[in-house]
Order: sequence, then structure tokens, then C-alpha cells
Amino acid sequence: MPPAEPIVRVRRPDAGANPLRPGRELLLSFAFRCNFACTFCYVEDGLAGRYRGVSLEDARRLLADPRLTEGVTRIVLSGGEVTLDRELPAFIALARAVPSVAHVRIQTNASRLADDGLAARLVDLGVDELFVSLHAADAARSDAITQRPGSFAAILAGLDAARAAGAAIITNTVVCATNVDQLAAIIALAHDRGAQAAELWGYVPRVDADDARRLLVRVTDAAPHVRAALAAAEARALPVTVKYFPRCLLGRFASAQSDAQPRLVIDDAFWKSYPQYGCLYEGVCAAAVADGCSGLSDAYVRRFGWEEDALRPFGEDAPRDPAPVIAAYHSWAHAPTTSRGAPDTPDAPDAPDTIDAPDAPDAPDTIDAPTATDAIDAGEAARLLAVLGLVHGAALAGARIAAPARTVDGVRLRFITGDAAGAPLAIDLRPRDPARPCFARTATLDLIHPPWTDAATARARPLLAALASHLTARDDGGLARALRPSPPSAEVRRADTIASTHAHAGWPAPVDPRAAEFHACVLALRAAAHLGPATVEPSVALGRPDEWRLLVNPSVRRAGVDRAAQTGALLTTLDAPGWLHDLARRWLDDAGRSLFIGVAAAALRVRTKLYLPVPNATTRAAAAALLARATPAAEVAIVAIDVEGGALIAHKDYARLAPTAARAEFAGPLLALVEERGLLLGELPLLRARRSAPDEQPIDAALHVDVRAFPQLELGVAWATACGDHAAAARLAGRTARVLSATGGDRGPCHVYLADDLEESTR
Amino acid sequence: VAIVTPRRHLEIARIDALDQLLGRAPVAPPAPPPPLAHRAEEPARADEVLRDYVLAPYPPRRDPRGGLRAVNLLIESFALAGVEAEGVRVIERLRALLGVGRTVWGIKHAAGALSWELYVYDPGAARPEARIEAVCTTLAELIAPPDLARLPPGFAPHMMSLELDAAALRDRGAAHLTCYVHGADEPGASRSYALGPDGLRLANLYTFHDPRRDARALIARVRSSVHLGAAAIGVAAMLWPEVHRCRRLCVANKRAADGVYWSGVDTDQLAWFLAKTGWPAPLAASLDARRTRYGHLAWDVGVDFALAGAGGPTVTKSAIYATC
Repeated sequence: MPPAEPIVRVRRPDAGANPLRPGRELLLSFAFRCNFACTFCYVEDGLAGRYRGVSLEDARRLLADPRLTEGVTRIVLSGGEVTLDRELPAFIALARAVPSVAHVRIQTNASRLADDGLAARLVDLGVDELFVSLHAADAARSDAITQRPGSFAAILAGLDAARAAGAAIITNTVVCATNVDQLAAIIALAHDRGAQAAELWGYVPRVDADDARRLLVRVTDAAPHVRAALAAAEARALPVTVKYFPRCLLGRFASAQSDAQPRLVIDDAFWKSYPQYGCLYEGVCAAAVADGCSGLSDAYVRRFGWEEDALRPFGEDAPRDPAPVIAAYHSWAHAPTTSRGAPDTPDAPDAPDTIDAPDAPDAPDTIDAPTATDAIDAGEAARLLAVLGLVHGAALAGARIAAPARTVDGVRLRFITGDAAGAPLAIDLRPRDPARPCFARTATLDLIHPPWTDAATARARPLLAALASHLTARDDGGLARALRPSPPSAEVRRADTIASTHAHAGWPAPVDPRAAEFHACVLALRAAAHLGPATVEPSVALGRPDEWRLLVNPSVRRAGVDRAAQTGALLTTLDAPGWLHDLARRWLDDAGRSLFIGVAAAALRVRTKLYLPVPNATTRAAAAALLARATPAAEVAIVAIDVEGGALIAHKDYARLAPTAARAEFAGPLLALVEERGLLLGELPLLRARRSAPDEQPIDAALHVDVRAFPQLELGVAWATACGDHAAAARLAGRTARVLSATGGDRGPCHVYLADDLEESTR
Repeated sequence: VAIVTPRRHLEIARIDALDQLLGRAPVAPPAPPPPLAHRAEEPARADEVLRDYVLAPYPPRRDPRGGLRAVNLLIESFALAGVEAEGVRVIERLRALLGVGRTVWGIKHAAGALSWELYVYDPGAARPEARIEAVCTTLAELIAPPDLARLPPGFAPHMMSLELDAAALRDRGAAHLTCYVHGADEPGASRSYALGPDGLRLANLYTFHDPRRDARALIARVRSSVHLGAAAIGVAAMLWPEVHRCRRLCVANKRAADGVYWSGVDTDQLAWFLAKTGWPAPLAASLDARRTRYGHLAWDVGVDFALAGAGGPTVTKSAIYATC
């Protein structure tokens, strides 16, 4: 998780918002000339003469085009040095004429602002924000960068003029090898000269792809300076945004980083040579996916590498325990006579000298009762041992490691000693609690053993010492979390639900979708269509113990995924007919829609179905009617529309779900829904053409259950309420998510799966 | 108006339609030079399924109408090597046997010379026409078939390939047969076995990775390469950023090198790749002039790295792949 604490706060409460962030911005780049020649700049080398700028006439037409300007609240005029362009006043007037625009900003080096009252005239024309380049804190360094002697004095004069004119000043500093050691001083200077915000930009090697100018600076070298600058800004309450610099290197200032930029209106050809950025961890880093840390430029990677050891993806690890890692050899827990003292503390040869104080005021006098354990399967046992860096059957200090077990809040390790005639030695690992007596404490775990005889304790001493040393070295702050039971996957939850429903109804047990053969099918489909794990979900058909199914959602919204393309690829893999491609493509034209493709997994290509959750009044009403009549045995009600072989089928596997006596209860509303098919088709022009498909099947030919039945949240609430799970209903009522599916009944908990949860799990 | 957002969730948006907004004609690219090959260029078809080098289908990157099939680049390479007619005959035979788009081709570039490899998939031994014997028989008039008697009886690999050079094409020389076994070691991994005088010998081990989600595994995989050495830029010496924006990544361990394959790169990336790895200028120019017409395609590219002194790995061979 990224650090949550904001560190830079808006300085001007009267402004009402951070001047850098509000509204939608549009940037017009029109003047590719400059009176400076900054060493890192690409304008003269990379823009002038290469691209067609936006002429005044172009700007007039563009800014009158609502496709571009709708909702835009800030227009930024950029060059080059725009104050050199005699048409600047006309551009400002055009920008001000856009009804929604609240701010007009110009990007400038400020060198001319003090000339002839230019700053005041710009403000009079409508400019209220100046984005001023400030790349050094002293004249020698600044003039070397701009390659214009005397320019630093002109910049400072311009800043003073801008402040006097009443414009908001935001400074802009390019972080490069030339100035990286001055960043804090630059921020201080900016503040002193009246800046209301500042931006620090990592150097973008636009026309210097091989960094021949040697301006790139290693991010690990720059990071302390950037953090110092942010600390200087924090001390002055100056809002700072850091761009094109890895967020994970900013420490507690991480929230200052954002690569967001305004929409840029520039020659289309410009984008063909736009520098590319990336990060090895961008697929697993919350910062890259959630809100745009771009990573490193290709030019940077070519020179310094991916920085795979320095960069730390957000969200990959749990937040570190701020407590120092202390290996502490305590009084032996469970030794009644010594629970608070230390006479029996073993003299482990490698035991640290420091001892955690065992006499916390609220430390219990009595020891915990031995905890009950849960047996776990071999896979989970192996996982736990792997997390701990142990191997089943291997030796540790002369003891053989046996299978572990789970306790209420931790893990019980078992060791078989050479002379043990009885039970294995048991050692509990529990989440760290400063008040709990234990024989050793790692960063996140307490190590405890039950009462032993003195002789047994003596024999176990090498083992205890070795285990304590091993786990202390291994626990970098995440071990307790890693030992927690994994929450059941959607796959497992679904399988368990279906299995319990089968048991409830007295049907044969379903095939376990986690079976190896089934899993092979899943892997094959994922590989064939390049689908992620969360988009292929194995299950069995409810009420069909012998049929395997895959529910595939290639349209799940996920960063970097073209939903339509992925869906098309999957349908191609499945040799789906062309009309199904058309249908899926048109369905996904609406970004709010998703679809599922059901595949008979035992023979991947036998049957393909498309499930389109249809949210409309008719289906909601039908579902409500069904819910009202649902019997305890009923898993779900229907809202799904299933297109199979060209036929539109609204279905409910009532014949399999409910005892015979209950069928009639389902049949009524089901048939009512079927009879409304014409109305459904009328509301779904997308599907209407399919009615006349030559291979249309009768409506009662296929009866299935789709537990992904609820297209709308209110149905999820209704279902949870009907199930008697008021907690779930309350939880859902507070959400705005779309319901993906729901299961459960009044004999068990209600599970309502939300589409948002699924999407979250795939990020 | 197409407003393209390069990354989700970023406010950055590039407006790639300024010409369209302004109603002005885009700058016309210069006319492409004539192709190297004499054969008429094969146009792309809007309804054909595009497949990558494991025959996995992929959607066109843009409207394929007006575009060119990937096979044109293969034929250009034949023409450049002076074996256009011979190479085309091989392709036509394979198409007649397997269908269009069902053969994967690779062009290899090493030590200044081009060679080719043709790959035929037969997962599950489900297609009699794709078996080694059938393919070799079909090509027997054009290429001297390998000695299939040295294969284990009943051997049905996941995939086979025939490696050819210009001399073999010109003189009906011998093709080197390699067989690929799928699913070794872990899901998605493969091994290849080259057919030699003593039968099959282990050649390469391949693992496949999602370049975005398998970062840790990918780093570990590349770091374990004996050819990475003490490269100053770490794994970037093998994981090139310019092609890392791809769909799938494969790492291979070979006898004298380790390989990295980037699957699903676009035509601009391919053009960069040809320049980076020093491909013959006429072939690179042919591609460069037709970037737009190849723009609907995704390509697969690969590099063999071998350690050269203390400076880290160097490229010993590069290759590009598509289907024909």
C-alpha cells in the first residue's frame, strides 16, 4: 500500500484547492522559439522546424470545438517561450473565451516579465497563472544551464514582477545532473519569490536518447536530494508535485508524485517520437496501475538499467512493521514457575544479549491454555514451511521437521527428536504481542512452547535456539502476515457453495473443479487466449455433477487490457461463429457492460455460450418475482440472458434445483419471463437480429443456472435480505458496485460477489 | 475524434487526431521504394485470423484493410539472399499442406548472414498433415529431409521446425530438424531437441512470462543466466526496454547462449529491433517504408546473448517471427 499520509498541503486556503490539480486541463503548444538555450531542453532541437505548431486560426477552431473543450477549466499556453510570440494576446483571448475555463496559464522562463510591465499586461489580458522555469538556485549554475549570461537576474526580476502583478506562480524545475544537488535550495528560492506551488520534473531525454549530454542522473543518487527538496517544501507549506521520478523512492513523500499531465494539443507527428517510460514492476505496483507512476524512460534504462533492486512496487509487500527487529529470549512460556522470571532461560550459544522486558504491566501471570489445532492439507503445510524457510523432513539442530498445523491465530510447528518416544515437540508461532511471555520474539512473531520437563527443555535447547535464530533472520516484518490462511479464492468459494448445494438437495457430489485434469483445461485456455487467472474461472454446472465448466470473463476491466480485443481473441480461440464476435463487440461498446463466456471444459470447443447480464426493468422485475418464490434449495434466481446457437434463452434450471413440488413455483415466473421475450428483445436491439438465426433453438431446450445472476446492486441487496443475511445486505447497501453474482440461502451465509471486487483482484 | 490514452488511470491524454480536428491533410509519407522481391505483395485480408509464433490468435492492431501480410517480409528476405523463388516454393508447399497462416516462420540473422526456420505445430498429435513425416515428405523435392529413422518410434512432439540456409534452399540441401516438447518442468515451459547423428539431443529450455506481472520471476530467470555476467545495467542488458512493452516474454537457455524472445511487438518496435541488432539495411528499409501497411500486425522477435568479457552479454544472433 502506498503511504497514506499527505505531506504537502495547499498553502492558500483562500484558493479553495491545490492550484495544480483542479479541473481538466488543455495545453496548446504553439511557439517553438526561445531566448534561452537550456542544456536539457528539446524545444529548439526537437520541435522547431519538425512539427507544425498550432496556428492562431487552428486554435480558434479547436477552442470552439466542444469535443475538445467540454469540461476544460484550465488552458495552458506553451512553447518555446510564448512571450516572444506576438500572437500571445490573441491566444489568451481565445482561451478566456471558452466558457468553462477558469484559469489561463502560460509557461515561461520569466525573463521578459519585468520588461515594460509585461507581467501586469498578461494578467490584464486574462492570465492568472505563470508556470515559471527555475532550474538553479544561483546565477552561476542557472546561467550555465540557460547558456545565457545574466539570465538568472532576469528570471528573478520576472518572478518579482509576476508576484507584484498578482498572478499565481508555479515553478518548474527539471531534475538533472547539473542541478540535482540544489533542489532544496531551489524550492526555498521559489518560496521566497512568492511561488504558490512547484513542480520537480525528472529529465525527459527527448532528443538525446543516448544521453550524450550526460544529464540523466541515477534515481538512487537523486532520491535523497528530491526528498530533501520535499522536506524543504513541507517546512514552508509549499505544494510540490514530482513528475517522471519513481514514486517508490520518495519515502514518506510518495504522495507528492504524479505524472498526470494536461491533454496536449500538438502536431500528431509529435507522438511518434514521444519518449517511452516503463517499469519492470508496473504490472504488480499499485502506483503504476492506480494513478500513474510512469517509471523510467527507455533512455534511462539503457544507461542505468531497470533499477530492479532499488525500486519497490507498492502493494507487493505489506507495510513494514516500524518496530525494530529484536530477537528476544524470554522466560519460557508455559513453564508455570518461571513465566515472569528468567531463571530457566536457556543459554543458547548464539542468543543475543538484549532481552525484551518481560515485565510489561499488563503481562499475564498465567500462561495461555494450549491452543487447539486444525489439520491442514499437504499443500498448505508445504506452503507454511516454505514461508518459514523450512523443509518437511529436513533436520534442524538434530530434530526432524514434521508437518505443521494451524492454531487459532498462528501455526504450530512440530519436530521429531531422536530420542522422542512420544509426541513430537510442538512450538507455536503467534502474532507478536508485547505482553505475551515467549521464549523468543521476531519482528512479527512470538515463539512459544508448552510446558516441558527440565530434561526435555535441556534437550530442546539447541533446537529452540536454532529456530529462534532462523526465524529472526527470516522475519523482515511480513512473516506473521504470510502465515495467515489465504482467503478462499472465488473458485474455491464457488466450488464449496455448489458442493453444499448439492449436498442440501441430495444430489450426487459434483466434480471437484480443482481436479488436475480440470486445472489443465483452465491453463490451456488461459495460455491460448493470454487470459489472466481471474478471467478464467473453473466451476461445475450446478445440478450437473458430471459436467465441468469454465466461466470466462475476458471483458473484465483491467489496466492495460483491451477488453474487446481480448474477448475477440478468446472467441477466435474457441472458433466461435462470426455473429458471436459481432454480438460481443457491440455489447462491449458500452464500457459499463461485461460478458461471460461459458465453455464446456471437458471438450473445450464443444459449446460456447455468451452470458450477457441484462440490467433493465423487466429482468429486475422478473428476478424479484422469482426471489419472492425462491425455496431454500434454490441457489439463485435468474436475470441472465443466454445466447446459445443463435437463440435467446432466459433460463432457470428449476428442474434440477428444486424438488418436484417446487418446480411449479419456479415455472410460473420463469415462463412469464420467457413470454416477455419479445419485450426483452425490443429493449435489446443488439440481440434482435439473432431471433431469425437459422439455428435458433426453442426456448425450453436449455435450462441452466447462472449464478452470476444479478446485474444490479439492489438485486444483491434483495437477495441477501431474502437469504436472511442482513449483514451482507447492509454491506451491499453502502456500496455502489455492480453485483456480479450471488449465492447462498437461508441455511448458510449469503455470498454476493461484486464486479468491483473481481476487478480489484485482477489488478 | 480519437483521443488515445496511453495508460489507464493517467490523466495524460494524447490527442492523436489534430489533423482530423482541423480538417487538414496529414503530412504524406514519402513513397516507399519498390520491394526487393519480384513476386506481387500479398495483401492482408480483413477476415483472416492473425496468430503469433505459438499460433495463438491476436487481434489486429489496426484495421488490416490496405495492409500487407507478414509473409511479405519473409519473401523480401528470400529475395535479399537471392533465393526468392526457392523460398516461395517452400512456403507454397506448406500452405497447401497446412493452410494459410498455419506455419510459423523465423528469419535469423547471425554473423551477417540470413537463415530461416519454419515451425509446424501439432499439439496433441491431432493433425496427421502436421506430423514430421508428412511435412518432410511434402518438402522432399525442395529440401533434403532429415533422417527420421533416428527419431524415437511414435514420437509426436508438440512442434517441429526445419532450419534452412540459402545454400540448402538453392541446392536442395539438408534441413536441420528440431523437435519441441511442451509442458516440461512447469506449465508453459518447453524444451527443444535437435536431431543429430545420434538421435535427439537436448537443445534449449524455454519458459514463458507475462512481462508485466511476472517481474520477480523474470528477474530471477535472467539473473540466473550465466551470460548476464556483471553487466553494469543489470537485467536490462537482456531485458531491453524498447521491446519490453510486449504481450509475452520467453527466456531460453541454450548450449552456447541464452535467449530472450519478445512476443507481440508492433511494427515500430520491429523496425527499432532490426536497427538495434544490425540487420541488412535493404531489409530494414523495406520494412521501414511499409510500416503503415504492416501496422495491423504483431511480431515476435528474439535475441541470443552470450557473455563477452566483463562488459556483459552481447548479441550473437537475432530473429524475427510471424506466420505464413
